[in-house]
Amino acid sequence: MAHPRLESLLFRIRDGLATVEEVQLARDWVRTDPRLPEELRSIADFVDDPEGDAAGLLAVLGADPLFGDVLREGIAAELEEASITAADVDEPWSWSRPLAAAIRAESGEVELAGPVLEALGSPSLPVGEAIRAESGEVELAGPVLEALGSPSLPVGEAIRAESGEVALWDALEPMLEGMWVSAMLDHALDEEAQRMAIRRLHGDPVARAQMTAFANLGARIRAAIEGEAGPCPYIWGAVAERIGVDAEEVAGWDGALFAAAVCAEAGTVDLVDAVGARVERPSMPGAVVELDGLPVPANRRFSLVTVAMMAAVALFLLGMPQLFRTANVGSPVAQTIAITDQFAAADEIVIESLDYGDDANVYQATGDQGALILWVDEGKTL
Amino acid sequence: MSTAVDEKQLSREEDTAMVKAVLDGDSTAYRGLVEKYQNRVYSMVYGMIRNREDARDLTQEAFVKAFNNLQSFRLEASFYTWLYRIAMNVTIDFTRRRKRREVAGFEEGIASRDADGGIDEIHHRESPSRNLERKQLYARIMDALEKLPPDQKQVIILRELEHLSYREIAEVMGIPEGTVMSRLFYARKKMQKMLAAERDPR
Repeated sequence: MAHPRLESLLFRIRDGLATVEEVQLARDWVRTDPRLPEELRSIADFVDDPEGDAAGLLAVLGADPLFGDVLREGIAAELEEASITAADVDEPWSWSRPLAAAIRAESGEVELAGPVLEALGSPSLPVGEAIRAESGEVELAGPVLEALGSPSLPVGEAIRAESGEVALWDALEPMLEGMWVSAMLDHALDEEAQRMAIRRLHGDPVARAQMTAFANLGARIRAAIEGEAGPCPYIWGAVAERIGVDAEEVAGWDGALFAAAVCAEAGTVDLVDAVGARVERPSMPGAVVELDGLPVPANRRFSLVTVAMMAAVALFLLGMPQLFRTANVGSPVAQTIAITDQFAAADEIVIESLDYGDDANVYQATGDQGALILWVDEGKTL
Repeated sequence: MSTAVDEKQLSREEDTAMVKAVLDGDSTAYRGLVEKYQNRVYSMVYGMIRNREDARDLTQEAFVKAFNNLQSFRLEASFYTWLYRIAMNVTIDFTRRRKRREVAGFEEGIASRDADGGIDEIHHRESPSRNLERKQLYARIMDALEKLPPDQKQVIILRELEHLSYREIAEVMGIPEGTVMSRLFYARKKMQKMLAAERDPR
């Protein structure tokens, strides 16, 4: 059983104030106190060096920091085996053991849980010491760096207060492994950390090599993803359909409004002369040719003939006088042909514009009804 | 002289203008946002799932979802981080639903053709041996990427492919910046280890 008064007896022995009876009582209690490792119970007999034995036992019990953390850590495992709970031990143990347990439980691979951070941020805890004691076993880097970047957080302040600049780096470095290299590569360190990292990088060829490797890795990942993914397919059509928009609709375009605006702007104009002038432009003779013989009708493709007819009728309506004037000046009379296909009535067709590429051959002939018929090369676009 | 920051700001203002236009009732303005970000979203999604058809569908899904939720978008925020977050969530939902999916092999016939069935220009230009070498390298890197835990994969894609800052990644993934930093580091270390192990198997 534990003897709560053992420590006071040990203090008296250490200070040379204990009586022979008190030393004997302390010897008896030490032999049965489960807070002490078994081998210590028999070694500490208070015979050759009673003051030294008492001081050592007080340190082991955590009542006197004579040997500090090293001794405590050395016997921590044995205390564990002796089934001592955190509540049974003295104050210096009560914070570090659950903290260590929590950190170990959360150590995983990446991040610490909120409760541990809260514990770390508790102002009453010697955070720097705790982190140093636990370094190498856990990965505190993410939260710690985050805290460093946020001066208002108590964790960052506590670490700074505990460690100072150089010690801070020494304390963090083992935990960070090469994380600072990774973060530095991404320009993600805060000013203070960046300064320390640069200094470190100058004297550390391994870190420089690591940074280069990380940079190369990034470029390769990017190339691999883009290379395998290939070009992005057409997305807008499907998206437009699903959000109820015409994929070809142009924002802000209104045909009726546009026409009205043009009319209002133009006022009354002589369209016949205007269109005629356009038909007579210098590029036209190269594109429109008179036929000596009739080519194979291009109107086997209904759509093409329809378009051609639409074009023909429009030209007929709008520019026929001018066209005939042009065609009759110094040119042979156009060969007449018999129209066997049924086309739409001319007065049902309205052409707003007619454009075609320079490489298109446009053939014209006059039907026996006087209508102008145009054929356009198959495959060309009006 | 314009800086990267200026360009980013301009781009952001452009996004905001388009979002406003959509919110004001001009749905066709959304086309601008789709065409601006479709490549980036598609590549990002592909990096996560490594299947072209699924990547295309999920990219569409992300844009539709973003459109439908545009009312909830805060105009002072960054549209693309908001969009990436949606795309990531859509992708994560998909991978959760998917019990087992065949990884799209980088077969000659598939890899050499683009989405419209045309011949990939790079593939067409390169010699067959060099092309094969390139594809093998890509496949090795993608295999390694695929083995990363999803969280780490997300982080490394957002950083290496999209060049998002830690803050932006944190915003997209809804995690602290410190966690971004550690996840990215471990992802890089793992990738490095996997690729080195493959190069020097012992």
